[in-house]
Amino acid sequence: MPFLPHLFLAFLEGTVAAAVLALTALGLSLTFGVMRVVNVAHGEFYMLGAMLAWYLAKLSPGAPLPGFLLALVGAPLAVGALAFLTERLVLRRINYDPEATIVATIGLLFVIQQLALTVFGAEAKPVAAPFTYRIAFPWFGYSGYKLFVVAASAAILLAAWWVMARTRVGLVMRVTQFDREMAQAFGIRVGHVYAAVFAAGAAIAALAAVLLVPIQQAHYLMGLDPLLMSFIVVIIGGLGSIRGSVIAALVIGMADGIVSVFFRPTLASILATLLVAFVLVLRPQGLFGTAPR
Amino acid sequence: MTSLLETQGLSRRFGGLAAVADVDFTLPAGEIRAIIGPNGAGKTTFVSLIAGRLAPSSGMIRFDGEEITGLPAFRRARRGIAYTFQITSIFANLTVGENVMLAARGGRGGGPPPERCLARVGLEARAEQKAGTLAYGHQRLLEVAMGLALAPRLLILDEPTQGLSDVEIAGFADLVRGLAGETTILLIEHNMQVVMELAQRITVMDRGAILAEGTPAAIRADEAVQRAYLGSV
Amino acid sequence: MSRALGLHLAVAAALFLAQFAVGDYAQLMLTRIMVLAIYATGYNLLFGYTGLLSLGHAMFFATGLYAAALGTTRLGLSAPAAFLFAIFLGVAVSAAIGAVALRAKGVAFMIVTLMFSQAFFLTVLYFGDYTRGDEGIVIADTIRVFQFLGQTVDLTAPAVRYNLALLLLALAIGASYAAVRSHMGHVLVAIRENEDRTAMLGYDVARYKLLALVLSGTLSALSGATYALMFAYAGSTLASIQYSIHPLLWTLLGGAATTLGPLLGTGLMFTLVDVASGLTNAHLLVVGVALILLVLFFPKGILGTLRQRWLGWLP
Repeated sequence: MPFLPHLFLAFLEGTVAAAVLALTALGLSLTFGVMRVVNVAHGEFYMLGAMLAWYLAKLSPGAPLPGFLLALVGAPLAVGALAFLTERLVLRRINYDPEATIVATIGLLFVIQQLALTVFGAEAKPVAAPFTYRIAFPWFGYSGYKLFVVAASAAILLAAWWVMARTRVGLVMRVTQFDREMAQAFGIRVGHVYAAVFAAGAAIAALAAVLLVPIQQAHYLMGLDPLLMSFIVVIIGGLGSIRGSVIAALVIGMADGIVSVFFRPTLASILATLLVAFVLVLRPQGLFGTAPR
Repeated sequence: MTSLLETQGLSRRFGGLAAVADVDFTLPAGEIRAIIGPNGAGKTTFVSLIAGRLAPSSGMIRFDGEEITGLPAFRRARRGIAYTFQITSIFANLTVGENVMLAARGGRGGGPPPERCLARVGLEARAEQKAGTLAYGHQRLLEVAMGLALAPRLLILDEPTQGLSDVEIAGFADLVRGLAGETTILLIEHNMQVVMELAQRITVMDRGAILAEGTPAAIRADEAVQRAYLGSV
Repeated sequence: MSRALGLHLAVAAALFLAQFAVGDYAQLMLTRIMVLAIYATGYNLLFGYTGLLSLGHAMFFATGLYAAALGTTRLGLSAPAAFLFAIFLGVAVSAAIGAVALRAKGVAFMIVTLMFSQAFFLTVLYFGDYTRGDEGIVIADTIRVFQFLGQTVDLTAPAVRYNLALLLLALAIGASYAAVRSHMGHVLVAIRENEDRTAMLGYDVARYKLLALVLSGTLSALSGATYALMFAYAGSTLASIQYSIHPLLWTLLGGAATTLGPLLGTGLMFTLVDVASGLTNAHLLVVGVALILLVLFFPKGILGTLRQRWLGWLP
């Protein structure tokens, strides 16, 4: 394939990667931003979403669409519920202490990952896309479903922005993020907000996975990469800045998608991880973030 | 008399707000100087700049003739600037004796031995006690003991009598009076009685700048100060 | 003799005698535990005593591991020379990483160490031609039998391995005990308790932290080199995030800021995982549950809780 069309293909792949990454990172950005804690198990919530999508798809035989719709609703709900439980049982008890939360969520990572291994097995699980539609470009065919993923992702991001910026729920979240004590003074039940945010963050990650899993297979180890990538996005985009996360996701997802079409992924990953490290060293609040009060 | 401490145009901004605005300040050696002013006047910010806990946005600080503006906090402590925290900041899990020992070995050296520092503040009997179990007033005294162990040339006391009982405050005032010969003292205080008793000169700050400076009598009579802050003494 | 010193000697004696009482499999496992306990002890210096939580110590362990493995197989170094080379590299790498990473505080430091370690791991994979990735480097038996000070040391012999590991562990714990009781150790604890205050007392906090990190990293590298030379294997899994989490877990379990806690934690966790592996292939589940329970109920670990409640003299 000549270069320009190849680049166009890379661009499309990059857009898809960016869309999914933005969605996955949104969940982490919410928890990081509002609760100021690092959830190392975030990738596992994502993985669970994918596993549940496969499972629910298997339950509904025949055309893949009903199973997909079922997963679209069921997986985020289930994963959100699990996250809610975790928040109540563990995070609240350790009082959201940053160090303790990291250690506890690392434990949670292992628990979820290994349970997935035991219940679902070690093989990769393919899931059929809810519809197949091939867009015929002059140089190559491209999956219409992938473009649907981009559109769906954009829609969800817009909805999230709308909730944060224009609704009372979003206002409550933003106040809690800005100044926890002040929020309490205003009568906001910070504990409830935290539980809701943590659950929402996990649910969005699961949703992203449900969208992605027809493109990529579900595998019990698939959570690590999205975790690292989301970290990179949230940190570079800036702690607490959802707009920053989205911009960073676009840039990084695009770069990742394009690079992986042309180059070996390992080198890109090395550079990406080093980049995150140096950004944090030089600018602890990320590129767009605000330092916590 | 040469000044021990001198600032020129010292400023510290947080975003758009100037917590300390263009302050020129001199402190002669051996003096007991009190800094007073309403809340938010910039007193703690100012002494934090001197102690090195905060970096200035602009301006210059000179200590004993040498410029220390860029010097990190730990080097200033080694030169003899001791700072006691406004919010008690001792090592709760170490014993009283260990707290002072750490201070003694960190600072300039050549200071009084830890037992002597504890005796000065009246805590020598509690040397083996865990610092976190001390009564609040005693913890404040431990802070001062640690400051003393650093053999300070400038001892900065940030609201030292806050939370102390009247008896403890009286004892504290005696302590400071006893120190006057050995070291220069810069004292942030809200307790006007303590200020009037101890201070040889008073600097009044308001909204980041120096409003007035002078003897206690002069300050008490100053109308601008009365308007801004003093109320009834 | 103080109780603390007596306890250390008793533990050393018990470990020495244990080799005669247990079977071959247990002896091998104990050897492994002791070597990795050196890693945990090094980690504890930074985590327990200085209060800095690193999520990237695998890069220090792997530095020693690969220095020894590549040193013997590619650079033609003898085992002792490779060992020294590994320690030297351990110092260099931890100093370099520390100079950069320590500028980040708190949560940022954790993530920075995690990122550096991940980059290290990916680099190991990238140079798979040399490191042979997951398959790993195998060190030939011939290299592991060498001359040292006129004696023949045979690292293929279980008894030699066991006692050498015990010796190294004793040295590591001894060094950590000495460090903790020294003035430097007191300053590190002060930094952990109240960094701001410590700086205001005239201590160069940045330098002390760097020192702690270098000591910690070098001990980890020493453990890695020993591991490679004793078990003849250097594979990329040992450089992965898992191996950064392990010393954290072991130290937490045994008791951070205790000298014997890391050893206890390593031993317990190994046994737990070994037993769990026999039952299920999801043995990391045990690790995960252990971490959560520890953080929730026993943040001070076994020895730490013992020290707090009953045995205040525990080192």
